[in-house]
Amino acid sequence: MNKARNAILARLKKQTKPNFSKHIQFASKPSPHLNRGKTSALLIKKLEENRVEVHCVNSKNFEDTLVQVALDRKLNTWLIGKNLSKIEQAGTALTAASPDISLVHYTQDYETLKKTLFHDIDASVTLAKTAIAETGTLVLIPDQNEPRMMSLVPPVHIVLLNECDILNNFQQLVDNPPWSTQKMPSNIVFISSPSKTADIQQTLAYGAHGPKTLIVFILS
Amino acid sequence: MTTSFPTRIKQALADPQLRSNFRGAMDFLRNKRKLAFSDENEWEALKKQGAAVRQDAIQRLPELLPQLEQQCLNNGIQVHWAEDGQEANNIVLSIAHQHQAQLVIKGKSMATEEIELNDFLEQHNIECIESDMGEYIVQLDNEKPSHIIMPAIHKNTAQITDLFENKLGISTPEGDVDALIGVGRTILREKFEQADIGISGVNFAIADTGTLCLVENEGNGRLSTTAPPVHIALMGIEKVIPNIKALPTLQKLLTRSATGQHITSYLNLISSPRKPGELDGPKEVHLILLDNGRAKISQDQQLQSTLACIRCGACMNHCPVYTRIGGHAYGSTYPGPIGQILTPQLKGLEQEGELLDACSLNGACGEACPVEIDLPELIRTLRHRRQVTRHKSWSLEAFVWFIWLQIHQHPRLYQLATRLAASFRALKLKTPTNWTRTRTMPKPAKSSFHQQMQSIQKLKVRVKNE
Amino acid sequence: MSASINNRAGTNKADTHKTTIVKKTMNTQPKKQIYLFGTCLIDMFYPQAGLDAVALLELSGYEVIYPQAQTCCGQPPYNSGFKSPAVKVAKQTIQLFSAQDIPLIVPSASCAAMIKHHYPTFFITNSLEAKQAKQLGQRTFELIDFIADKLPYNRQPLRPPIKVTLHESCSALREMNVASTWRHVLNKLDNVKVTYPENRQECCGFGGTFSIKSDAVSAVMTQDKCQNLINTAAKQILSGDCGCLMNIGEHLKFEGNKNPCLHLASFLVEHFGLNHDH
Repeated sequence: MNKARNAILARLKKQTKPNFSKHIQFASKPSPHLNRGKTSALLIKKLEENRVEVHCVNSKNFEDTLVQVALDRKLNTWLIGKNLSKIEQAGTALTAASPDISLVHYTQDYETLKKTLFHDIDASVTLAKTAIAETGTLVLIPDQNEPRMMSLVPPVHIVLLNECDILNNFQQLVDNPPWSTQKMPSNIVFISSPSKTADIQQTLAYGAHGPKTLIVFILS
Repeated sequence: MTTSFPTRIKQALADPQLRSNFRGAMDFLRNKRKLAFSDENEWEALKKQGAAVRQDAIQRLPELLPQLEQQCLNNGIQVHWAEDGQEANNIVLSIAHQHQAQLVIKGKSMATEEIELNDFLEQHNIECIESDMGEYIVQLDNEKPSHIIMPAIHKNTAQITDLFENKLGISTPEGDVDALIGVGRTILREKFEQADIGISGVNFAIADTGTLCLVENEGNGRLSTTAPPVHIALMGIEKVIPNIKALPTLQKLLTRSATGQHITSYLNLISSPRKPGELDGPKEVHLILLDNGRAKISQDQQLQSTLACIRCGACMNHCPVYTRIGGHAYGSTYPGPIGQILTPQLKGLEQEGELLDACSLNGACGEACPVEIDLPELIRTLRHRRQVTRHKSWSLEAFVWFIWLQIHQHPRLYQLATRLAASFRALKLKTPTNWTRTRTMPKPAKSSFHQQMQSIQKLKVRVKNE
Repeated sequence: MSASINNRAGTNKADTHKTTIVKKTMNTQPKKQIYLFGTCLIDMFYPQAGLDAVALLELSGYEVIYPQAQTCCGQPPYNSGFKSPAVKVAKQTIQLFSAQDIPLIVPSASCAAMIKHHYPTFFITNSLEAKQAKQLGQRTFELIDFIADKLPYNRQPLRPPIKVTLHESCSALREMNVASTWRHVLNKLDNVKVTYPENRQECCGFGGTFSIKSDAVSAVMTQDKCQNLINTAAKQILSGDCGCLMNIGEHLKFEGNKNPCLHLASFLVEHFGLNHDH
């Protein structure tokens, strides 16, 4: 392998070219200037264009709407993470709402929980770190409390997003990321719609492999 | 390939279903892309940024790749270098053996197609299943992808419905795409659960943080790189970018050019395997840096920009030739304009140079390229290289151009030749030629423009002197 | 003076007509000079388009210099990968049109692009030849683009309404970026309705030697383009590139149709009544 590395680098170093180093300007200012209200409105518009269901709720009682969603769609087995007060709030409200509703806490490793994850979960609820209005994108940073599979395996995925965390555009996010570049999170996921594909005669179909339904609660 | 390129072209042209499928698909994709880039100023600005980032990255590969390697290692990602496809395949095999892997699930990766990884693993008794719907479909039908973004673009719904019925024994209602997708979801879900190794490509690798960026719509990419205990990412060495600042621009250019989407359902940034305390994610992540001819391309100043490609597929979507012959006719992993440029460079101009003939140099590809690769110019350059390496043996074409030069370099000879052609204008060719099979022969004018301008000039002189 | 020329034995109508034009142009004030590069296709097959180009340039106030030693721009071998013959012919062409620092007008977007954009790439950067090529490129223009703002639109003679379709050649759309000017000029003409074929930006299938070497796919592209043009139900098919016009026209003839193709220059000459005595 070292042999391959050396050989490849040696070949690459044989480039003959003038030293090209150009400062590339990436526009990060929102244009036109968007205030908080407009940013949220843009996010909602973009999300809904991509078949994401959006609920604007008060952060104090968001769980009422969540419970309604659970009851309306008969979502009974919920996957939730740990050590997060908002999630605890949600979990408590859900189990209180109906005896049919039960929670699965993602507290064991994936290998142990695999069968349950793939077969028994109706919905999951996770937090979003931030969101990008220009493309209608949620940014999730899975971690010890909310592992990766939570936003991937269940057929219904619900995201809680604080309105004040919404950014206007992607460039803003990378210019000032809410993560440490020294110690990158193992995984960052940008989610903009339910899972979909147009691989069959360019016909759009939802629920390919990831969640078929994506619901966002914007908390203010 | 058992058939020749010209034969495959003729077969494709004679297939009305193929013609109709591709026409429909290409028109659809062109329109979607046009809508996504409806703001001309934004398109120009993004394109310039994208071109600059890619050009800079290629020229700094000797510095960026070691940086990427170091950061990945710091993050716990194991890094391997492969000079060619065989080496890359062997690396995958050795990892598979270490883990006694029997089932590999694949996210979408054109690089793995390039090195024929699936066949290699099958030969070593390791089952290798594609999880991208389009890739799954072509794998089911024992075919190769015909497009780099939409692998099953050559098939319509009816054909896929029949395929599922024949190969899987599963019937779905006519025209029901949702049902077909549902079948794929059910079957592949089981595979995600069971797979020992997940293999993916990499859209961009960020050097300064050791981060792999993957875009997708289906979720199979995330599942392939999260569910199995081992994730292997195969990446062409040209895919590295210096830092995350360029990612928004490149993401916009890629997804809008490929499918007309402003962003895909998922953009996944992977920087490490499962960390202590984390409950899921692969326990091992491997990055294989694949050369396979790319470093050599980087040495060639005229052809270097080949490596700027971000694999969006816009060039083939806009190519009038690809639209009519489809992807399989090219007989190479990468079809269309980028394939005509890349394949001869990766596999040899001698063997694959013929691909270059299937181009009218109309320029639609270069116009659509989001990183400003001058594709027509690269095709011309490769045609020139091909001719230069061939000229040792006399070819009919070289002779034709030799005669052409004699005539066009000597004005008197040229004018004589024109006069001769004019005097034989009444002659009709009996034997069909490539032109006359579908067109009448243009008739040389009785009096050429040269002659007419000459007599006007003489007239002017006469008039002046009167 | 005129009587003696018109009465010359053996003079035919064309000669008389030519004389009239020549005299007309010579009787006006001293004009700015420009070079004309006729192109080999116009030279051999479509000289009328060349004459019409001259007429338009003169109408626009120019004196046309046509060096007789010109042959071809070199595009056919160049596009086929035979750069050396193309470079030799290029050198000759550059010399020929560098005697005077005046605009070089080309009634073909593809030949114009060859001279303007490709010639400068043939020579080592900063060499004398490269500088000359660049200088020539900077004063090279596609015909319609050059005269677009100089045509006497307010002096349009009355004409019956006509529906035409425009084939925007690949070189006009991309390399020379003059297709919008072509559209603009046609839109300014009275009683001319312009339509566009479906998939208007798609290549007609000519591509020079492509039509011979990759004849199977070229034939299909040509067929499609012709069908789309016919579907516009236009009376004439216009373009500024004779290669495309030849490809389309000869295919239409092969299919038993009339050839409704006309160079934009010829259409404009007809429109402005330049081919009639006024």
